[in-house]
Amino acid sequence: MHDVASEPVGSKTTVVYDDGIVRQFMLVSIFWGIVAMLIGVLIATQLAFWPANFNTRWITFGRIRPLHTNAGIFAFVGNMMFAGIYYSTQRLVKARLPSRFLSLLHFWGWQLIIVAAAITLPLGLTRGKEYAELIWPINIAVAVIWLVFAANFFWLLARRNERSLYVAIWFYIASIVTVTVLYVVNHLSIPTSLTHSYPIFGGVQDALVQWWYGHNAVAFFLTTPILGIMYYFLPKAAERPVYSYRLSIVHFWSLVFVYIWAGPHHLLNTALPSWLQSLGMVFSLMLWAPSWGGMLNGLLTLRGAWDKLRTDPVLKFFAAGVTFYGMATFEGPLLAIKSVNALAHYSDWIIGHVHSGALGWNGFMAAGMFYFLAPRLWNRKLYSVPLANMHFWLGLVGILLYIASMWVSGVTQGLMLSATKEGGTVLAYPNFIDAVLATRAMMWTRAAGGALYLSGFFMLAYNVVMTARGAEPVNGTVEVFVQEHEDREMSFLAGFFNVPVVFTFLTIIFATGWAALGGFPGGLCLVGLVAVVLFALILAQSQGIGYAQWYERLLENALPFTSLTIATVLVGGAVQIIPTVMIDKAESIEGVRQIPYTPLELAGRDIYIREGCYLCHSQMIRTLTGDVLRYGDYSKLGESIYDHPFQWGSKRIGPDLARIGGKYPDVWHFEHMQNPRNVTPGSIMPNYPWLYTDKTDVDALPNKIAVQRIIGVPYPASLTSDAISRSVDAQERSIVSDLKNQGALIQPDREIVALIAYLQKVGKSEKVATPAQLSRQPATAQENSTGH
Amino acid sequence: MFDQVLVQDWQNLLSIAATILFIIAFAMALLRVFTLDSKALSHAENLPLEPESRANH
Repeated sequence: MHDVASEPVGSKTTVVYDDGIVRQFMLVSIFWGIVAMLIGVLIATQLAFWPANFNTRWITFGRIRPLHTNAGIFAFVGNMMFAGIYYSTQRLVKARLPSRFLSLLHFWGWQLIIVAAAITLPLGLTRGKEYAELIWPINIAVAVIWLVFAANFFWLLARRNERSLYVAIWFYIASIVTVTVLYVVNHLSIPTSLTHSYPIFGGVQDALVQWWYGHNAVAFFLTTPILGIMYYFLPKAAERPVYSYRLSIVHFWSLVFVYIWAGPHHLLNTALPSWLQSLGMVFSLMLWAPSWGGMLNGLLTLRGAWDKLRTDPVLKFFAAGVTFYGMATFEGPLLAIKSVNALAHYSDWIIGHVHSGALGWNGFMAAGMFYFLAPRLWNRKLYSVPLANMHFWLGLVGILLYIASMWVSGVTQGLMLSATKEGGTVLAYPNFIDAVLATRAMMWTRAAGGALYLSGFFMLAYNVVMTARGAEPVNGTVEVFVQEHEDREMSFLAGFFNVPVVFTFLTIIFATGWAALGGFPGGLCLVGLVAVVLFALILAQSQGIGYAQWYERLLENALPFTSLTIATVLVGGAVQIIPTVMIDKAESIEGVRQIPYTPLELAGRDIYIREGCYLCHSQMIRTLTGDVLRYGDYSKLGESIYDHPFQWGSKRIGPDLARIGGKYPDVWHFEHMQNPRNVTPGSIMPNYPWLYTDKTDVDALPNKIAVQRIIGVPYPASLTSDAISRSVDAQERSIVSDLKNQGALIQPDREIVALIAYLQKVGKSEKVATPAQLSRQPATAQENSTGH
Repeated sequence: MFDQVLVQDWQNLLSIAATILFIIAFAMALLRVFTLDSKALSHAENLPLEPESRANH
């Protein structure tokens, strides 16, 4: 397995890099990138022209939109990231990847995961959480393969022949450890079958964990590894060092520290506790500084080389990519301001923002890197520079069409849906469909922009294939002096238990305790905090160790550096999530508590999740006048406490459904799902004909309810398998009878009946007295059932 | 018009503590940057630019 091709020449060794694995990851990234973009163009077309859903379940918007996002993030950017990390790290540490077996396991394992996702998502097998849709067996596979990647990477660092860890490697380390933490926490679930599970978090806790993960997936999967790639490939392509290495250090630490706190900005003006909303907003605004520091550092690296942009497509893509990074990271904090968010959230503006990052930053950085790598990996000039230039301009126009149309569409939606008249008491546009119709042209423009961008990627694929065709693949080699770095040797344990790391952890523990506990324990923590800082200073003074020496020692040793990075990212997550998990639910449900679903409603809810309804419909009425006038009283924390997973949503392609229960008769839903245009002319929602022929999966319900009990939903013990069966039967017959009275005929065991049962339940809750109310009026506290 | 969620007092401290913590982390990084040895700096920033040759696969 130790297949380093080395020829000792005196004290010199020739290292031959493993570029074969880089070639493999690069080629599949291009392939999956095209697949992801093709699906993207299809779903964009579906939003402009609903018949493009073809009445076919496997390619309906709700099922293939997750395929688009997962393919874009994990298949396209993931494979590109692995190619970039393996290429640059080997060169930065002057060592070959230690294990061909681990590299191949990483490669083929990741591709199998992608294929599994491409099969399961169109089948409707999903966890119902954005960017975390993959079912639990695939989640385990992702975690295992990610650890294989981590092992391969850290083993490479351990065998390095270069003392310093270049800043790009810091970004890679942060990405690896943080993604591990995020992925594991957000995917904690209890299976009900081989293909289905319920997340252990529910309601507001699930919302917080999901967006802590969702936001930081953007941060640590789509941003920090690409920043590492920028810090390696941009100086390489410009043939000059990074503008300011000092700035890159500040960029790294401040970005890694701040990013992890910003997740709650995805839940502004919702039922999330307000302190978390403020925290998310403040830290999002703070992100402006490190993000722009990084962007300027990248762009100024091109100082004195701007003329090359005219002729070098690699630099063109990099310069535009970094510029888009700057634009997207300016827009992100702007959108995290509560008042701006009130307009933009749930609208297409967010989609435009996401794609300025995905297409502009990730896509262009990927293209620049591939054009840089292809000639070097096959030792031949790029097949066609003019074709690469054409790709650049097509891609740029495509992105601009895409994001401009989404801005126009998003602002239009935000303004129309929140507009009021008569002193703010009446909606100016009471019909949601008005906003849909007003933005139809923008949907077509977006599809055209996406298609242009995709055509550029076809050119890239052709260019790379023609460059490689008939050429001999080559590996980079370098002669290195093998040096003994006795002063930087550290055992595995010492990597984690050394003075700076222990002091840092103690500081974090005491600071968190001081902040979280209050009273006497909080005071003790404050004393502990001061004592730790003083003791560290005294120790450093007595041993004559300067801060710089400590820091240097940490940075030269990957393990303590890694554990410090883990501490940095954990603290942000812990401070937000732990109090939310600990929060007194009885006090915080605002006097309203969700009524657990009946078995049939639960089955219907799983159909709702399977069809990806949450991708177009939110279930969260924000504390905003427009929302309340349109949908009813704002959503309370208690109304979704039993929702595993939560269904607050992130986009309103259709209206909010938080209070849909009881709003329309059963027959309205029956006709709506058959053909939405029957009840809402102009609707772009797909038809769901299979719901009228497929039978509800009742057999799975006993297992599902047993798991719901485990995760805290108060189903009574009397709800046995027989009782479930009787309950389903009775509710089905009641709905079918109601439908029959209104002229609609259907078999009781069909999925549409279960879905109607669920939709009629959404928003139904009971009023309960909080402990505070009980203590004030113990004699009058009582429960009243009510439907909003 | 809107009742906000009940917030327990100790939670308000978290926003303040978080900001203080960030300032400390930022100050430490800044301190390190200012004390960085120029020779080490020059070595690090030139790492991506070191030449390499190529060998057949």
